[in-house]
Amino acid sequence: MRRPLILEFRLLFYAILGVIVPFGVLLYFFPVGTDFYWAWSIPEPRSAMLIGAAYLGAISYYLAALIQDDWQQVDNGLGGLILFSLVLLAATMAHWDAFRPYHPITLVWLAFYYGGPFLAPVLYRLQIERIGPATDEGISLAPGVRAWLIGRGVFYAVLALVGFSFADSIATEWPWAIQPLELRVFIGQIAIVSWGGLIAIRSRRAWPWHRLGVLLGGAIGGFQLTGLLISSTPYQGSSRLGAVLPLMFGEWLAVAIVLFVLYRRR
Amino acid sequence: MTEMQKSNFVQYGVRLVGLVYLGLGVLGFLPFDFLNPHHPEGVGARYLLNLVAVNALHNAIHLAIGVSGLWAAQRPNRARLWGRVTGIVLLLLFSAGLGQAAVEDFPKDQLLLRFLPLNSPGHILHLITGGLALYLGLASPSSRT
Repeated sequence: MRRPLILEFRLLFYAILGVIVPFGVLLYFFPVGTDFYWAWSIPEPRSAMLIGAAYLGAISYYLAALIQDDWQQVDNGLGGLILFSLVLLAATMAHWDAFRPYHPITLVWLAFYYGGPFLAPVLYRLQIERIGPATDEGISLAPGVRAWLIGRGVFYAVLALVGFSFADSIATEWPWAIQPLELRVFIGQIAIVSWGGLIAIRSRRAWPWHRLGVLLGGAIGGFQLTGLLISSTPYQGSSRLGAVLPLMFGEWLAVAIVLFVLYRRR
Repeated sequence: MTEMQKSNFVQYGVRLVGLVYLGLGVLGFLPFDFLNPHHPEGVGARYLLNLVAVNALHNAIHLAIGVSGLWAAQRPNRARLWGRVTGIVLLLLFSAGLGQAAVEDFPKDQLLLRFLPLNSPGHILHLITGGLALYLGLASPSSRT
């Protein structure tokens, strides 16, 4: 039985869309103007697109969540929203000196990443009280698929932890000149993909639980791959991480395509 | 059934806000520069977690909000009242802080009424938690449909 989202969740998702649409469009399509419009100055357009891709990818997630209006499909993603918010809040703490303290985007940025960890748990609780817990219905993931999701979840969790902790060193090996702040913000995307895998550890194995998370990872991967191709910033493919990024984004996209093809007609 | 399961979402939310403020209050008193660096260039405040401008009084207020929130979360009516009072206070603090910042041409940090250090991460924290607290205070008891 499908359980709809409560009004408060729908309003929250509309509010999130109201933030991520302009964030994504600005950073991804106008990556050279960050001196003027962004919360901090991002010197390399490719870095702006790296961050913007996450917002563009997330649009598909929230639109799908609103259209599907199905608690089972949204339930798992809330942990990812909290995790993403906390990672970006930690990046903000680590690099607050780089921010323009009263720039409108800074204020929205702070509200966005303070808000997630506060609002998501409270609305989760309200959803359960009003509508009840999500049901575990739908086709179950094949054991091999589940193992793959868990494996990549653990891998990306370790990658995110190491990447966030050693962002200053990793920035020197990056295929273009990137600041540790942008790198730490990007780590939030790896964390969210990791979350999408780690939730497969839970006993709930039905495909609908994972559907939107897989969509999110795939959409971000697609925008990232496109961004690598179209950005004007030189890409040092021979650097240590030069080959890693396309492979990683390709994996995000491929997993989504394979799983949607696999479970589309079941 | 545990106490957590028996409480409603208003109590749950008040408990969450209380816990966060209690944590911030305790952390703020830790005099470690790597955690709460001193920023001598503005009003000379420490930045809690390198973000929110605080001093001892500000930390004590965070602690008071946290402890009172945890106490209020034990009863539904108390939690609702706490939400209304704390929400209004925090939203007034947000308005006053942002208003003063505007008058002073948006400095990096500021002293409200000459004793309470504030900055933009603090204003937004007050806005988000104040808004949530007021929502919890005004929310009607939920019933399962």
